Amino acid sequence: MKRVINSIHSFQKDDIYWLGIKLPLILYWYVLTKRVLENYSTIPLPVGVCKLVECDFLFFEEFKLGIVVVIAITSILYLAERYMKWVTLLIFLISVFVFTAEEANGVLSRNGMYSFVFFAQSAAYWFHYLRSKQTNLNESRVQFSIQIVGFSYFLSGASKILESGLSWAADGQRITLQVLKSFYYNWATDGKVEHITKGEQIVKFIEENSGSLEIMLWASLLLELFAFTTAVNIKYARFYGVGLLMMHIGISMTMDILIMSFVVPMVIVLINPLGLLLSGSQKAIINATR
Amino acid sequence: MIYKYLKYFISVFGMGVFYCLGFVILRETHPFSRFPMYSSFPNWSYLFYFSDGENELIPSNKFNVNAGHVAHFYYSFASANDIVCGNFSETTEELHTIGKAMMSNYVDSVQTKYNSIEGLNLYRMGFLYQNDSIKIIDELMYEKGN
Repeated sequence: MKRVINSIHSFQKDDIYWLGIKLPLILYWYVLTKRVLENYSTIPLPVGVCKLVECDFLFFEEFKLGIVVVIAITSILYLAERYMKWVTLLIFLISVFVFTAEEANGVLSRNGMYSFVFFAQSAAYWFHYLRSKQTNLNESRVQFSIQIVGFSYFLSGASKILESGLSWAADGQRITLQVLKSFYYNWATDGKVEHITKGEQIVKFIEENSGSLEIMLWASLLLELFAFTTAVNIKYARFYGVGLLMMHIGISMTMDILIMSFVVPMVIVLINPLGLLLSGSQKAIINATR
Repeated sequence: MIYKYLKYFISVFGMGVFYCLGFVILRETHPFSRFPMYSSFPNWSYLFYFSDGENELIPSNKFNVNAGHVAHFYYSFASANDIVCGNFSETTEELHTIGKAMMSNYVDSVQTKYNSIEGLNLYRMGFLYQNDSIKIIDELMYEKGN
């Protein structure tokens, strides 16, 4: 017991914060990649890297199990903080192949940010190695990840301005069409008519509150456009992350859309709830044993 | 002085800027994307659904897919085959071509009791925002066996 308490005492704050990011990040990545390998069997519409390399091999029955084992081993090495320069790079490459194969099936799961977070982490380890360990690895591996999340939201906001101009929020009254469509999607997926009734109720509510809708759309656009500023400070990033989470909850409530491959890494990297929980528990244990 | 600011900028934003440059050079190529979800609110939208010979809905989850993925396939297939789609501009022949590919991808590849149904249909349900109201326009894209 004493040894356990001593080890809790010796565990550095930075390591706990980092563990809080990488544990849920790799677990969810493992689930996502495994799901792609199980759900698809061909490459009907080659895109991206699958145009350069035949990606069908990912789905060969004789390789599938082997790939899942490789994914499991890299995940374990990542958690064990072993060969990190190479492991994070390998995770990135596997991620690119697997998620491109998913896109080649016509499914756009928007996993690009997720893949590139691993590249950013790999870059942090490589910089640390190449500069003879003179960089602050504890800071850069987290900060590089935050940059990718922040800039992905920025790109999404910039895309709205480039495509629709500043009238994007004002054009928002036509969002009712997207809302209705989302609920019809649910109906077409599981056949339950109540989805349509719910969609019609929400459309009516939005039409009656069009002023509030425009304010909310402006708020979400500004949140996205300035999300790159999260790279400046980790504590600020956490507050900003809560703002983005509120935005996603709002979208989920009105449109029944939650892009998990976007929300999950954002919550893990910007807010890091597990890191907060672990460091809080550590403090409590230390205080209790004093 | 400028060097100092540049160094700060690169250390704080360098990786993010690199990601943006990746998108500028490679466009929508995984892992690069501008994440264009809801970048605009067009006055039209599509949904795709399967029905049996009696025109009763067959939920897409019976073919292990959700309706969002079916719609993604529609746009991806059209784009890969240089078919301009959207705003009800597709011709009947184009809808038939895409519908055949969708049926093949989602129905023929999965073994369920539903893919042997006689007269299995694929419909496109179009939503059109006009005069502050939403019109729904159904169109048969493909009938299995035809």
